[in-house]
Amino acid sequence: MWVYIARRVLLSIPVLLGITFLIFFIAHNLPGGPLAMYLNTPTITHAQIVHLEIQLGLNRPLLVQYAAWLWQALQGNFGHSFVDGQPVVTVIGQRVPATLELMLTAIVLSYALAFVLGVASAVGQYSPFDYVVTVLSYTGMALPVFWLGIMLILVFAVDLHWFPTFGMSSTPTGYSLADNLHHLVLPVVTLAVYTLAQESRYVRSSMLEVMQQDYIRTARAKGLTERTVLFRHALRNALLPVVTVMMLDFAFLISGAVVTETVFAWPGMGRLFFDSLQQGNYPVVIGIAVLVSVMVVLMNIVADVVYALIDPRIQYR
Amino acid sequence: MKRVVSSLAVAVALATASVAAGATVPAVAAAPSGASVTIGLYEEPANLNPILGPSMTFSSLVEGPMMPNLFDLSPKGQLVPDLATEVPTVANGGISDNGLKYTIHLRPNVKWSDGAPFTAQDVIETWKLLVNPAVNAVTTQGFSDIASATAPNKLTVVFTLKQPYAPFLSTCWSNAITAIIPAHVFAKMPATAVNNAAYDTDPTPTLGPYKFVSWKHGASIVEEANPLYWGPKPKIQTLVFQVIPDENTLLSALAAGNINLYYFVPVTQLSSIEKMPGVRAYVYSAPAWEWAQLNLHDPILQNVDVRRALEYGIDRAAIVKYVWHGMADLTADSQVPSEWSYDPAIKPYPYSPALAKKLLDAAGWKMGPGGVRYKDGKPLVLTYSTTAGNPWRAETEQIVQQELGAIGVKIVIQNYPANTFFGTILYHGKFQIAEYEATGGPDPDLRTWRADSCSAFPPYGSNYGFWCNRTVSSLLTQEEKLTDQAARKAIFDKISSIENAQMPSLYYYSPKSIDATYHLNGYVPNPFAPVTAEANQWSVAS
Repeated sequence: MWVYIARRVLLSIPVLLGITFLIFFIAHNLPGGPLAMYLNTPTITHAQIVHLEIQLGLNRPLLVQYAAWLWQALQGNFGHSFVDGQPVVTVIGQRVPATLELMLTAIVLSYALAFVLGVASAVGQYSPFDYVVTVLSYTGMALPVFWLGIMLILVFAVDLHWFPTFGMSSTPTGYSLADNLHHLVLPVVTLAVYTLAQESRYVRSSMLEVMQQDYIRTARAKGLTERTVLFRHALRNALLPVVTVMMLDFAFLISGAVVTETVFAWPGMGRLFFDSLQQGNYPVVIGIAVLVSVMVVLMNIVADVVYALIDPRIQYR
Repeated sequence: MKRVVSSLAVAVALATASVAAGATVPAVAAAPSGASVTIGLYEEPANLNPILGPSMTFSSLVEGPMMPNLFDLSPKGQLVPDLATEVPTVANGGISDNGLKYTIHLRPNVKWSDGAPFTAQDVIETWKLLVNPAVNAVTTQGFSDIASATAPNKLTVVFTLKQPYAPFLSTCWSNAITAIIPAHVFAKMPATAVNNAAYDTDPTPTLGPYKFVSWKHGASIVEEANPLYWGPKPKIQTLVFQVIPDENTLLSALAAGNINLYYFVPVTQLSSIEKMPGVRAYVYSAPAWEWAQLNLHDPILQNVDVRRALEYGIDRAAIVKYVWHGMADLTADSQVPSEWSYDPAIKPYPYSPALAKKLLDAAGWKMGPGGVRYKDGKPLVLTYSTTAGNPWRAETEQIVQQELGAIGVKIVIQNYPANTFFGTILYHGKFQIAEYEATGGPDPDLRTWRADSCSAFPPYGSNYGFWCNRTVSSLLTQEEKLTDQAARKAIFDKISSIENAQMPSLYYYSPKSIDATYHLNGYVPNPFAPVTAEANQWSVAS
C-alpha cells in the first residue's frame, strides 16, 4: 500500500509540472494582462508603463519567464503579487483558512445528508418521500449558485434579520466562534445545496443497483435483519462509485466557492483567484492553480486509499 | 462502516481546525454602536500607499480619511487649503508672474499620527519618490515638470517648474490622486524598497483625522480617530471599509442596515434604494462621460460626414431617458457640465435621422439592397464594442443598432470583458466604434490632452481614436501655460466647438453618480476628491 502511494505521488509530479506549464502559458496569453488596470488611468505616462513592464519582468520571452518562475517555485518561492507586491505564498495563505472553513463545512454537511437522503430514498423507492427528495434534488441542481445566495440573503438577512448579509464576522477585529458560525450558515447552505442534491442522487442510484444483487438476496435469505443487510452489505458496496464521484466533486466545490465567496463577501481563495484572473495577476493565479491541482491530485490518491479501506477485495501493489 | 464514520470524523476535525485557524487575529473590544460606520467597497484596494499605482477609486476612498494633501478639492472642484495655509495665486504672490515659481506655506503644529512633526521635507520627499524611476508611481503627471524644490524654512516649500503648467496645484498637490507621505519613514529607504514597503499595507503614520488600525485581506480595513489630528475631531470613532464585491449583496447590506455608505450605486438600483427606510440617495453630476470612440485609422470613419451622421442618427436623449432613467446630462463635446471648462452654448446634436441620411448620401454611401448603404460595392458595416456584462451598455447597443440600422448603417456588436476591452481592444486600436466611460482628473487639461492631442496616441495617452487636429493640439499647449482660469476657459470653448464640428468620437452623456447612505448625517458627495476625506464631519443618525 505504501509503495503504491509513493508511486502515485511520484507519478503526480510530471502531471503537476504539466499543469503549471499550461496554466502559465494560458494565463500569459489571455487578453488584457496585468498592465490593463494601469492603462486607462488618466495620469499614467508611457514611460511608467514601460518601466512597469520591465519591473514585472514581462518584457522577457515567455519561456524564459516560465523557466525563471519554475526555478524559484522549486525552491518554494512562488513570486510576488503584481497587485500589492506581497509574496504569493503570503497572499494565498491569508485566504486559505476562510475557503477551507467554508468548503469543509459544506462538504461534511452535504455528504452526510446525501447519505441519509440517498439511502432513505433508495429503500423507499417510489414512496412519497422518494418523490419529494427527487423533486427537491432536481430543484437543487437547477438553482444557480449566485441566485440562490442572493435569495437567501434577501429572505433570511434583509427580511427576517436572522443572519448577516456578508462577511465572516461582525467585528473587523477580534474573533468569536459563535459569531463566525452565525456568518457561516447562509454561504454554507448556498454552497452545499448543489452538492447535496447531486450526491444524494448518486447514493440513491448506487444503492438501488446494489440492492438488486444476488448477494443481497442471499443475505436476506440467511435471515439477517434488514438493518444489517442495508448497512453491512448494501451500503458498503454502494459506496465505491460514490466515493469516486465525491472526490472528483471536490474540484467542482472550488468553482462553487468562487461564486459563493463573491456573493457573501467571504474573504476566501476562490474570490482571490477570480480577482487575480481579472487583474492579470499571474503569480497569484498560477499559485492558486498549483495549490488546487495539488489538492485534486491528493484527493484522487485519498480516493484510491479509501477504496481499499472500504473494499477488502481491492489490493494495491 | 466504522471506517467511513471515522473518515467523516476526520473531516469534521479538519473543518473545526480551519475555524480555529481563522482565529489568529488578536481580540479587540468591539466599538460601541453609533461610534462606528461601515462603508461598502466594491473593489479591494491594491495597496494603501497614496504614491503607488494603480490608481483606484476605492484605494482613494480608504486613504481619504487618513491621508490629506496640501489642498482639498471641494465638491465644486475648487482648491481649499488643507496642510497648506492658503492657495497660492499670482495675486497673493504665491505664484510668480511667469507661472514658474510656486511658494507654498505649510500649516504649523501639524503632527504625524506617531507624533513626528509635519515639515516641508515631507512634501519634498513625496515629490522625489514620485519621480524616482524605481518607484511604481501612481502618477508622474506634473511632478516631472518640477525642476527643483527647496525649503527656505521648515514650513515653506518653493517649487520651480521647467515650464508653466496650469493644473500644477490641483494635479500634484490636491487630495484627488496622491497624498503626502512621511519623510521619516521613506527618506532612508532605498527607492526600490518603496514598492514592497510595510507602509504599503500598514500605512502608519498618517496626517488625517483617522489613522490605520488593521487590514484583513479580502474582508475589511479599519481606521480609528487620530488623537493627534490638528482639525475638528471626528464624531465617529471607527471607520470600517468592508469589501463586498457583489452589487446585489451591497444593496442587500444597505437594506439590512449592515453598511452606512454605498458608493457608486448603479442606476438600475436607484428605484429600490429610494424605497428603503433610513436610506438616503445622493444623485450628482461628476466629471465622467460616456462616449463611443471612433477609430480614425478606419477609412470609413475618416469621413467627417459619416461621423456626424452617426451622431445625428442616435437618439441619445432616449438613451438617457430610458436606459439611464434620466440620470445623465447629454454632452456635445468632451467637456462635462460639472466642470468649469464646460460651455453650455455648444449644444448636443439633435436626433435627426433625416439629416443623418443626407450626410451619408453626401459621403457617397447610397442605400442598397437589404436596407444597407453601399459605396464602391462595399456595404456600410461597422463593429461596435464595449465592456461585456453591463446591462445599460447592452441596452444602449440595441438602441444604437436599431436606429443606425434604420438609416442604412449595419452595426455588428462585439463585446469584451472589461480587462480585455481596455487592455487589448482600446489600447491596440482593434475596434471601429468603442463605447466606454472616461473619467477626468482634477483638472480638465489632462483628460482633454489625453483624449485629443496628436501626441497622445497610445501608448502615450488615451487618444485611442487617433484623432489628430493640429489646431486643437496647439490650443492645448497654449492653455497649459496660462494660470488665469478665464483665459483657459476661452481656449477650452474653442476646443469644444472644434470637437463638436469634427465629431472625432460620438459624444453621448455625462452619467450622474449615485451614493446612498444609511443613518448617516453630514454626508456631502464630492465628484472631484475622495468623499471620505470629510469623514470627520459625519455623524450617525439615531
